[in-house]
Amino acid sequence: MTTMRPLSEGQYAKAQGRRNLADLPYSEKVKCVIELQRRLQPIYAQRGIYIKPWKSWN
Amino acid sequence: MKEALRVLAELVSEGVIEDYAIGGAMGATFYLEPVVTMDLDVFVLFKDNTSLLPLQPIYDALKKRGYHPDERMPECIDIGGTPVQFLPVYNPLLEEALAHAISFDYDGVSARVLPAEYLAAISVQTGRAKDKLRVLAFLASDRFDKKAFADICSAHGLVCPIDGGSK
Repeated sequence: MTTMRPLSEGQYAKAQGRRNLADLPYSEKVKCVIELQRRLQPIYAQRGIYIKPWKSWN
Repeated sequence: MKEALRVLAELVSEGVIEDYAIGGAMGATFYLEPVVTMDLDVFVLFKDNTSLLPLQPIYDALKKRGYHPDERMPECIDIGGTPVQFLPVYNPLLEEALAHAISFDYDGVSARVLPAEYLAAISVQTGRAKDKLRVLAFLASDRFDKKAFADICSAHGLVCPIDGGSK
């Protein structure tokens, strides 16, 4: 029985997604960080941890 | 964020600090996919590094500008809604990293960030769980110079994770 060849690196969507994010301009990445902070805020608040998302990327 | 970078450039031009570079998670985010963090870590170099309170001149200069410690993270100064943590350069690895810092343009403002290989080496040195994850992320990156990283680790007596832990 033959085993399937491993997929090439480029065929892994998750790895490609990471590369795409890494290739973004820094200002776009800062926007992502702020969005992550906003999404994390209510989750942390339920645990009694209060975080303050950054005001703006610019 | 932009205001914080503008203020940092002003601190350099006024001679309050000699040089600075972004490190920590926001430094890593410059090279990798964005990761959540709550502060902007900034490594600073002073002309006079003999002071017992090296960060005091920064705090004084920022206070004059109307910036105060962040309510939730008092170790940080809130600059335009971004908590900035100033960290003095405290060892030879950080001194060397800062000497190799990269300048970049952030929406019209000049800023500086530590090189990826040095950020990874600093993560090896600090060695917390999140630092180890950061090293793995760097090693998986296409644009990371593993040889340069191994050389930095070797020069500073750090256990390089590339070659199975042997120096």
